[in-house]
Amino acid sequence: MKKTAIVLSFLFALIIPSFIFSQGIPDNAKVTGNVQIDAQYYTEDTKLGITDSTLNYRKFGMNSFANLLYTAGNFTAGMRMEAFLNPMLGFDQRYEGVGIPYWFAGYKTGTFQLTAGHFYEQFGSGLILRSWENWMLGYDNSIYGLNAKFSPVSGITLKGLVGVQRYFWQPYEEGNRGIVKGFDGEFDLNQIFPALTDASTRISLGGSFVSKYEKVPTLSYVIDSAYLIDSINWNQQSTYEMNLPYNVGSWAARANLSNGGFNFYAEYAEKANDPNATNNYIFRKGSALYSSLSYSTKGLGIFLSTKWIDNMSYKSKLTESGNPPMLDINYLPAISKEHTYSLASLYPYATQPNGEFGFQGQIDYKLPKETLIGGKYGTLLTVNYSLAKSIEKDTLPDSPITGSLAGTQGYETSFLSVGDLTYYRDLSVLADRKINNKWKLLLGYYNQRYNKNVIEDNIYNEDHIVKTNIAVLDLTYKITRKNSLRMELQGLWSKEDKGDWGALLVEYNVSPKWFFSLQDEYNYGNPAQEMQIHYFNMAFGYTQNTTRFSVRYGRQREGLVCIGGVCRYVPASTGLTLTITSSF
Amino acid sequence: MKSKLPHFIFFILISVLVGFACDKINDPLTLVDQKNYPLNPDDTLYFTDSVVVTCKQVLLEDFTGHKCVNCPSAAKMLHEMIAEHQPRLISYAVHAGSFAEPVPDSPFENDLRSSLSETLFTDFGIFANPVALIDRIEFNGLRQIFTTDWNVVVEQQLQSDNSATMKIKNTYFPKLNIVVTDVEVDFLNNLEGQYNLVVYVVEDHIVSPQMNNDPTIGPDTLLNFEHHNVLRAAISSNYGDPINPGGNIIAGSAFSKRYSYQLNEEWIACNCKTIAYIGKTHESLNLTDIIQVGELGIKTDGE
Repeated sequence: MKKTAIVLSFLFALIIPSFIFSQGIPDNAKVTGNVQIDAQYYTEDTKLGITDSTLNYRKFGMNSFANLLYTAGNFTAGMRMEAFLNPMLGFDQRYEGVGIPYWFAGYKTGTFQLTAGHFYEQFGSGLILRSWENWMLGYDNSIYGLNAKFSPVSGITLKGLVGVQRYFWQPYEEGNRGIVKGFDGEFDLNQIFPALTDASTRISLGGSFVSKYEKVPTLSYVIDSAYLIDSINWNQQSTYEMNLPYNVGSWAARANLSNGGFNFYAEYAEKANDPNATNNYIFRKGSALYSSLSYSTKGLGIFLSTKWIDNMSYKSKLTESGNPPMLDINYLPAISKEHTYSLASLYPYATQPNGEFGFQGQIDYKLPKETLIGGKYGTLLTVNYSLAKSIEKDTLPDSPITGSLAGTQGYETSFLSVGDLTYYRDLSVLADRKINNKWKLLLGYYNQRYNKNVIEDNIYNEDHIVKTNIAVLDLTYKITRKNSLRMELQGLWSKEDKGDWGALLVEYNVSPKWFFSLQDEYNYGNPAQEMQIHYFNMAFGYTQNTTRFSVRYGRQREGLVCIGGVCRYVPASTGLTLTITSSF
Repeated sequence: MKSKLPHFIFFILISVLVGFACDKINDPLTLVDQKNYPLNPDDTLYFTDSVVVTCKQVLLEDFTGHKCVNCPSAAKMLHEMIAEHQPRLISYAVHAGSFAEPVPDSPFENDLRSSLSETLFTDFGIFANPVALIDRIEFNGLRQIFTTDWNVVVEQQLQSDNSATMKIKNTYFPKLNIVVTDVEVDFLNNLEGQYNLVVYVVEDHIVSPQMNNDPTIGPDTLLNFEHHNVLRAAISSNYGDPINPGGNIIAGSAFSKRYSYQLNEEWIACNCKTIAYIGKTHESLNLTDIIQVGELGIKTDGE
């Protein structure tokens, strides 16, 4: 019934503006859209221990969506239909179903813009609010409500929103999640003050306030204490309830300065007491600092960024935790590099919202062409270093009532302190060079430290550090103008976890329509001999205009898929995968 | 800019209203219940008694005061009603408000009020004595029901459907002057909304002066007036503990809870009773629409 109402509302929103604004279908009306279908057929694989039973007899999985966008002048409406029948392996089974989880209608009049329905929004770098979606991650925290933007004068942009977040297919009801409210202001000083209009230094300032209201649950703790009266054992049973905040507020301030090739951005955020399942119900306030400095000029790019996070998990339901990380109000930027090559991304980093110091530095330098070391076409060198460590924490005594840190301030820390525990370290050096008209070569070396206990199991020690050395050779040979052959050779060497890996990919492209590939990832160094498995894949794809089909058959290894520090666990599987994407 | 100013102000106002909200919690944990009981009841002396309520019973909360001249005649009427409907009409006297204030150096220096009585008096907007709440329902648009309507409303409530059966068990430990009250509820009907279980302690047979204007009862000052079921304290929280947090009640479901309470030394334990009732939570009045009530004295000896 609700779905019908939504669809009717959407059709209403599509049709009515035509009558209101122009009493007919406007000439400038435009409908665009895109579709993606990912389908997998799973087969049993005794080597991976996959049977019909472990698959829960779901031999077929399909994730698909269709976006539709209608624009007519200042009016816009859109919707996304999704179908998870059944959700593919590695996606949360609570997605199972079909429906329209996303629809909106919006209009702009003068300097005022309003969106009703579902929307995505971000304040600053997202430290206190970011609503976003990523299909590959199965992540969607869209907000359902109202979003307004207003620019009273040139250079000032104000945003205000109120709504509830998506939680799989579950409709909002009082108590099943909170209501998110927020306000943001962005001030471009060069536009506001005429004296600064032509200044070479560009400055913008911003500030945000976000709060959530949640009808909080009752958390009770019962303490028994025995005592003796006249040689009789008595028990005093005391029941305590946690005073959970109905409203949790946060604020952030940011500044962006740029001059020529330099750009500096800094944002500081604080969050009020927010006991939740992620921070084990401590009442400490949260804080975060994110900054980046970049410089770019012809042939050279330098990017440095750092972040310091303390207790910044911020969700619209305080009992929500686990994977996928649903109902996140904010986003803690990941400052580790996302690698392209499969073995280099075998051990990706997931942001630790309870406390983390991070640093990333990257230099891109193009060795000049027509030189001895640069070669005829020049060579692009990329050096990246990422580091994530704990922050210093002086843990306070456990609460005698809860028997844990729950109900206490949790710990004490100093702002910008860095702890001893390394979560993640990644050094990579890549050299990309076009040798001649036929050959193109990329060489890469990666050295990584991956704290498996911290990143995968929230166990804060150094007992399971995976140290890896990875080398990549990527060679492309252009046979003709339309035909090319590409080969990837990768090696990963490690004494920990699953040991050594080797990978080979051969890809044949017939531009612009066809590709064929064969790939094998071989875990030849796995300490468990029976797990020394070839993950063999073969694939082909065909592109026609804006539609692309691809088919892949083979094994998929288990592991984390991380995008922007948000991760999804993917189990091992074997089968046939079909992907269709199309747009109009 | 001028034409945009109203938009701007409106936008800021809306944003401020929706954006700024934050609860600062200074005391993360609050003690909500404390009970004492012997680890092995057989080790100590105790007396126990229980009652089972199987048909719909009615609660009448009589707001009164020892300076309320009309209250003795109301009490007399109530006494007769209780006798007529025994045991299905249960009442307690809520001494609160100006008529219940003690007068030093006079016959009315006793204070029969309690913090609970004052809370009920304030929360339910009691404006006169004698007046009653009957099952905390509305009658003719008012929850405060005058004596003239007591009979009508009680009769009406006695005819209503029974939604729950209730068992109350009191176990009294004389060495500690502690009563342990166990309440078990079985629901007979589906019920929508949030319901709470409330347990109070009352003291019967308190002899204390009372003003009077009914010559058939006695003189203007009744020096040895017997006050019945004077409300003393809440054993649960004032408006009870949630039975069904976050959901409706389904017919056939059951609920039980144990309370432990140390009686005030100044109260006569053998005259004390526990009264347990179930009501529906209300947005502003905390708890209304009582669906069941039971009463049980505290047995203090082996007789």
